[in-house]
Amino acid sequence: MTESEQSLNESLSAAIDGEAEELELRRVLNAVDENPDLRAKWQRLHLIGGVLRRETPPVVRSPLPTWPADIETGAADDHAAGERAAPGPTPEPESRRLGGRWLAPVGGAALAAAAALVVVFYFGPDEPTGTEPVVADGSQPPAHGLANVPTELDLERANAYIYQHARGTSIAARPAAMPFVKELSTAPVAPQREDPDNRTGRAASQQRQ
Amino acid sequence: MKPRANFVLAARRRAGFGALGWGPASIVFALAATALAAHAQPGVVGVERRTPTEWLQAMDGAFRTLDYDGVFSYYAASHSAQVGILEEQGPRRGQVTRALRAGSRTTAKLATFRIVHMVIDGIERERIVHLNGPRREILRTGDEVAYLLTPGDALLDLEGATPGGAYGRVFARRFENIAEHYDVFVQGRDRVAGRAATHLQVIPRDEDRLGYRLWLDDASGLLLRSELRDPSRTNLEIFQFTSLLVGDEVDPANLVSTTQGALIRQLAVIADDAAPDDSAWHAGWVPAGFELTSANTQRLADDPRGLSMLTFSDGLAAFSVFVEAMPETGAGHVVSRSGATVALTHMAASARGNHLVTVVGEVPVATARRIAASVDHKSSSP
Repeated sequence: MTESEQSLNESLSAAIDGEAEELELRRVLNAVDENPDLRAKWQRLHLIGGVLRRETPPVVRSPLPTWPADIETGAADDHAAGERAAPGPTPEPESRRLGGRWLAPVGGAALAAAAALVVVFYFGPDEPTGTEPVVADGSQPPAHGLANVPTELDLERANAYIYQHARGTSIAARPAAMPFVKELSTAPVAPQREDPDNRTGRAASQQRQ
Repeated sequence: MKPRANFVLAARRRAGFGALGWGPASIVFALAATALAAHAQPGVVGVERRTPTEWLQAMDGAFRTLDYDGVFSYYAASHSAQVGILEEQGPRRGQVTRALRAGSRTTAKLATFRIVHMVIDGIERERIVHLNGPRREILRTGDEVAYLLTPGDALLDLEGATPGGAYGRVFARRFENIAEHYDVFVQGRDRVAGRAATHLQVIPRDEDRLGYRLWLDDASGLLLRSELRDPSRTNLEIFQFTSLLVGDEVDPANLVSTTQGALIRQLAVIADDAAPDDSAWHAGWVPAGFELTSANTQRLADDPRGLSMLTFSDGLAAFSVFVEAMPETGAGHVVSRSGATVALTHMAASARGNHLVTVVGEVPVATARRIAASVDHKSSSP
């Protein structure tokens, strides 16, 4: 990785972290314009900050990117169309496999609902193969096996770990908040959505037996 | 577990607190009396003479030893950086114009709780009630913690998906070392929830942890308000009491749940001893001051490779590292932040195959990323 690419990655990482100034972002754009290789690499880059609202589960459930509402142009549509054409990870088989593991009583809908307010940054594939994160740690080798597009299952897994972390540390590790608060407010506060398959209740009751 | 309308935890008390010296109520009252005496002469005795570390210790003790009944709100902001490079076909053939779309969006959730805490006969009793949405309560008696949830609550599912086990008490706060990594000082006097408060600043000495602003009740030492801030001083979480009763004003009747038709999802026990470190993984780098507080491997029914969970704390903040075999279908690159808690994924490649590393905790994203990248199999280390 060249120094320039390294620098760009760092800038984009800063952007992800919300720490980049607009000037820095513009530097990225300028570099992209000046360097054909980088242009190819970044050409199809778009970073989506999707807010996973409970009211809009399709954002969570679909591996397809969604542009921010303020980007409404034909170009954006083209991007989206291109993404739809690209093969994306298929969560279903893995979901079932994991479902028997630690998400057994959960069900996709329930955990998608529990992912409220989790913010996800999405990177579109930069190459046709699309298996390397566009923005990764510069020192790391290509992360084959870590797909650009987080699936619903990835979000469920992350949310389950957030909960597990909160649960494990809520007794004493959070002096700046009351014990259990993080834990209790992990899942959405609105009434539970209807689970069409009733998988949640059935699986949960089976597990309890 | 069958639905039950009521339950009695008192019969299941354990001797944990007694064994730890949390014993006689007289000690509790002595502590309370000390705090109240300080309040009686503000600025003369106690309050002004406390060092910041003593304030933190007072806060910690107050939460555990005093009787209080209050309502507080918990606000968590989630920040998303939205960056898009928008390409458009220019007027000439082959010309492409690029426009930058960048911005940030902040979403927030606000939850409100009531907490009732008493120490009765040396046994800590606590009831936390979620006041919005579905009825959720956590009831604690001594070392036992029970969840009281209503059918259909998503939290029930999430809790069911979480491996059981004890809460560790290993997070005993090590405030004596706080000063090595945080600059703690009294900012001034203020007023929160109608009560006189001392405002503390807890500013990290490096960029690998979050900052805190704390408002402590002059009378009791209880935390009245806190803010967790990222390095750019943006508030990620705010906790604040809106009303608070302390001491004799607290009615024990309010420790009893009134929720009907609830489920007790799980009884957990607070354990004194951490499980032995049987994890095959370790973090090659963690920020200075963070120490491993627990490590275990959860054996999964259908995957003997298991899930390793390592938890670290610097006395104030904590993060957990989860390591599992890379799922056969791969995993997605996730970077998420909810309130002050970040979660991100990383892939660790080793001779044992690829593993999925997920770091979750109250640390800056860049720090979590560096931690994740350092995770390695123990046998790979010199």
